Amino acid sequence: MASAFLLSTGFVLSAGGPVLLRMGWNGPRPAVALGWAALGFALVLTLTAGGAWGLAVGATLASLVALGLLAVAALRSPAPARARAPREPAARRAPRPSLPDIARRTGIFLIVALADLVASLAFGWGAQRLAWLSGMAEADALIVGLFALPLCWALLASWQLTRIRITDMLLAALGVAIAGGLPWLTL
Amino acid sequence: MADAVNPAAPKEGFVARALKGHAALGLLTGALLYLVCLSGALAVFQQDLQRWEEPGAAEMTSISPAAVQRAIEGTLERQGKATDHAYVHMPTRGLPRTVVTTDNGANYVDAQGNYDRPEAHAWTQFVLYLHYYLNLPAFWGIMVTGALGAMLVAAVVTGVLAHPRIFRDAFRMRLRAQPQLARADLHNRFGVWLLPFIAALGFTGAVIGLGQLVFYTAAQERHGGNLEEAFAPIFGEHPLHDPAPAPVARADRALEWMAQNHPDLFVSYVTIEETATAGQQISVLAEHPRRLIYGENYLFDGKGNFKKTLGLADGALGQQAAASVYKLHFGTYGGIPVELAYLVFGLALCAIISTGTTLWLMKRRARGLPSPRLEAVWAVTIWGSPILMTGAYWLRVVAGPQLPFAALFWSALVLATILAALRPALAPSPTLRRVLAAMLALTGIGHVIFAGPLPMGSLLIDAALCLGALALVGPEALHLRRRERAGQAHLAAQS
Repeated sequence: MASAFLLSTGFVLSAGGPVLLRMGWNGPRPAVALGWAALGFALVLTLTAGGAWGLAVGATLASLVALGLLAVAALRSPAPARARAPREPAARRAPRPSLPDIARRTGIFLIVALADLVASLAFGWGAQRLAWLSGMAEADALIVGLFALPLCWALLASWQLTRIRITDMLLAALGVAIAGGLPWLTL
Repeated sequence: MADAVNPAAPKEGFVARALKGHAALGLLTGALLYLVCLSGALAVFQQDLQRWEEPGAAEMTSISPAAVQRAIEGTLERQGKATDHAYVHMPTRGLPRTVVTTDNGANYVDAQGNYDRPEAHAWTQFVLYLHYYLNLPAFWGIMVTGALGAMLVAAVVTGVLAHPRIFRDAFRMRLRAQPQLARADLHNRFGVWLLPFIAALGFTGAVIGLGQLVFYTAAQERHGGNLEEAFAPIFGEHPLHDPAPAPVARADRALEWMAQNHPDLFVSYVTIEETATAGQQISVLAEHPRRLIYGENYLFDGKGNFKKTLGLADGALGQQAAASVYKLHFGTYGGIPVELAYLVFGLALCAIISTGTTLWLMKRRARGLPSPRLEAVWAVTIWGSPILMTGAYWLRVVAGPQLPFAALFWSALVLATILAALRPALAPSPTLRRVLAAMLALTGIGHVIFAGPLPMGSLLIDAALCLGALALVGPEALHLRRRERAGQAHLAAQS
């Protein structure tokens, strides 16, 4: 009974959070703090009273309410006073990509798509091996590997794509691969 | 990414570099990601779509254990071939039908367990396989879609890094502003408010798709390369192989045991492994309310005696986590409201992907570097692929379920893409959008008229198709009407 009450409260706060944020947006600032607080409490309540299921339902509810608020904003958005065709500059010829340019782009693609996959697989493999050798149940160790591989790949690719030098990208992939390979080579 | 490509370019800040990385990811994966997300949005309602595609099959809200047993034995007898596995899909909310599937085919049965007709949901299956595998061979296909999942998470991360004002503008949605601004608002606002959904979707998709690689490594490391043994700690062991012939396993007894001992649980699936051999095992999948796990497997021997549960509901944390990935990905954890939310979110994600590349193309045009060929190819991807998916359904209706829909779809898409690249003016984006709207409306209306008496679920799908058509052409029609009125007012003022 208490759990159902907490869960319902969590859902109400999940739905109310975006509404409060909307009220505080370009409005009274305390509403923003209240909105974030509502979402924070909603997270705690749904997770403790409803577990992963409660959290998922709460997040769905919050996103749905936010989309509803966006729909209202879209409907209320004013049309431009006078329809004016955007001024378009005269078309100019794009510089032809040079061979080194194409090679670098291909290289970056290969690093992000292939080298990162191999490095992340090594990392996931190493992580699950470390977990297994540290006495975890095999199912738990496997899930460490299952979750580590895509997470590592996504974060590695994100970081690399903000780098300037291609060598930085390669070194990052290499570092992750070595970090994953160490438990395999040494334990 | 341009910096990495051209290190001689002037140095840019972190945000600018993140934006270029975000754009590069979008350009690299956008088209395939769009196809996976579009088919994924439909896949949420896969059972309802199957029912919609194949009207007229026997329906029931529940089926007795004896009828299930009769259905299994009758199907095996009809097929007359040995099968390793036999599956029974029990009536559910989305698909209130009983389907018996073996290695040799699948058929519907009636409420008494008698044969009704073959299962022939070829179009729904084509859409599902487009989502799971991009219609490629299963192993490679799921690797590609898994990789796309990881790239979607990377796009979320770089997107957040690239937009420091993303929360400050959280409710700015100027959809009626100039096209570029309207699209930027849509891309950024949907992106920020659907961030948990997109991240969860990408991550779970990547776990499902790339998971096999981890199981392969574990198989090599600890199980002498035996993949089945590597899966066992999470998904259970295969029963001991004993090929001696035996009567078909007593699924009826297993279901009676479930009804007596767990009347609160909903049984969605019955599986018999090593069917009709002495080593056979029955697995009853029961859904646990208010859980993210796809269910718990209750295991029985061939005589229908309960042995144990697999542990997906209360076993190792790893088992529970792995079993929770699927419902979270497909949005089947909260009934119709959550499924509808996932449909909306999925279509919104398609809009995010579409506007991302469109914005890139618009910015190029604004810099004096228009790419009409790329613009036409992108328009074909965005509007042409749903047109072709709808066309595939019409082919299914006219020519039957045996056509190779995947091959036809991809051939047509490649051809349309080549045509668009060669003749960009042939089918501009607004024309393609109107064609799609017309096809959706015709499909909805045609289905109601020709598919015979339909259940409410199928009627709602038809209504949704007509509403979708309206949503596609409605804003354009309103805009034209407003412009016409403004023109008339201008003329009146002049006279």
